[in-house]
Amino acid sequence: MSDPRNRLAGAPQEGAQTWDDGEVTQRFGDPGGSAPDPAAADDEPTAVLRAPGPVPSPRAHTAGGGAADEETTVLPAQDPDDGEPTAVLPSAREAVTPPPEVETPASKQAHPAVEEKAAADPVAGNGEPADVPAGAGAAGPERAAEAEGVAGPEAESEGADPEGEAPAGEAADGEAGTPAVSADLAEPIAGKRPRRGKRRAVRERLTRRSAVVALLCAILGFALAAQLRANDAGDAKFANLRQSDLVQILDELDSREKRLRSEISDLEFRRQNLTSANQGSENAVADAEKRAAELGILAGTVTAEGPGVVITLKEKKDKPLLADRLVDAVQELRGAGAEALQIGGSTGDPVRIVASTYFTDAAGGISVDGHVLAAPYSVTAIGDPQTIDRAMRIPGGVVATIRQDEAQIQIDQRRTVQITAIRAPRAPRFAKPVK
Amino acid sequence: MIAAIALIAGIAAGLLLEPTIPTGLQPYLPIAVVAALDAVFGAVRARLDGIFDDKVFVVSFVSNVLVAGLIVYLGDKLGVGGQLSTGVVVVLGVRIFGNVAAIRRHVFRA
Repeated sequence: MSDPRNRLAGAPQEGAQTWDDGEVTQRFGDPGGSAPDPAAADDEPTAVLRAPGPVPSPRAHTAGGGAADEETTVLPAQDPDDGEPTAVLPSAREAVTPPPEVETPASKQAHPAVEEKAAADPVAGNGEPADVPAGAGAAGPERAAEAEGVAGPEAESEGADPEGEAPAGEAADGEAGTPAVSADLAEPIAGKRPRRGKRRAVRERLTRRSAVVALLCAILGFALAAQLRANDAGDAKFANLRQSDLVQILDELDSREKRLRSEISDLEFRRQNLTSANQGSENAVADAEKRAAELGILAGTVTAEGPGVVITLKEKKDKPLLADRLVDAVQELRGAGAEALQIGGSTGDPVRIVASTYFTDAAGGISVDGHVLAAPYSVTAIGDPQTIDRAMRIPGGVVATIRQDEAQIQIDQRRTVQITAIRAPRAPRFAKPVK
Repeated sequence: MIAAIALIAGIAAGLLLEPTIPTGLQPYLPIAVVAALDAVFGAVRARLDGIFDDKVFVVSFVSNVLVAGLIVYLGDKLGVGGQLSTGVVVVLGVRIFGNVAAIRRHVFRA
């Protein structure tokens, strides 16, 4: 069974070297040669049975094969596509030429081989039989090539509808049937007829195949877009990774987390330090402010209030109080723990008494730090009133001395006294703090 | 022509429908896409060379995709999936470059 076919189909196969899609490769079994085989295999036996008598047994085989499948008949025509045709076509054509129509009438009649050929030619649409009578081996391929050229674009433009074309092809067959009466007549016409048939065949083939190609391209595009989409989606980034990659990524994330955690604890520690330091500095500032206030009271740069005494001194006429007495009184007050002192007179503003305050006698009164005060004087002191009072009344003390001078002294203990006079601080010219 | 239209239609459909890739296919789809791209570029080149054949295209397309997927699958099973898929991508990339170079020569004559 396979022998004739192999023979027939073998020739094109060998000759068929084509380019693979990607690279130059040897193409095994060009579609034209290989395709018909299986189909033919089924029908061959029948074909053989029918056509045992007649001489052209190989043709009968081939006819059967061709008849089996319209597609298969189509396939051989494909050879030209690949550019193999010239060498291949003649043999292949003979083998495959007769399509279905040929079988029924031609194979049964089977007597005039020539007629068979003639009849088969138009029907087959391949035009090979025509070639045979014409005896032009060279002409065949050319025509085929032309047919391709013509059919290709048409088929594409039409899209995929083999059925639609079919009637036209049949019509062509019918027409072809008439001229088939004489082989001689067929010759001249053959040039056109076969082309039409071939066109149909090529169209069918192209439409189906291009449909498959288009389907594949569509699938590719779909998959491509889907993949792009999937990669775009943020989370899906990991969905496409394989397990080992995921494990690695997980490890990296873990180590990174560790790093970040240690960083966090570092930073928290630093923050704690800073806040505590801040608290310390606040305390320091508070301390400093408090100290400044205390020193300010001592230095007389701030006003002060608190419990204390107010001492009033009235001198006798014609016997003014001397500055000594005031100095003694101030010393006694300091000794009794007075913390802030000021002295006022009947004229002039009260003067704050500080460490550097001096008293001198002056016309019309006493000069305190250069401010002349007139009697009566009042000395205000902040401190424990009772202690001060007692200290002043010590025997031989301030009160006694002043009374010896025939002046009057009065000590008023008060819950709150206010010292309003302040002294502008004077920056030391020479002394500097030791660090 | 039809193929190009179909390709564009497929891309549009993929973008519009936002399909969810089955979990089982996720590792293989990128490789399959690259393999198919290789087949497509080869087809374009063959077309320019005038030797395009639909059947060869279909067969090479399908086989490319299947073989690429198979290699990656095997690699996954052997624990070298990442490396193998990289290798596949490299090989296909080289082929694509070769085909693009041929196409370029056809189109620009340079």
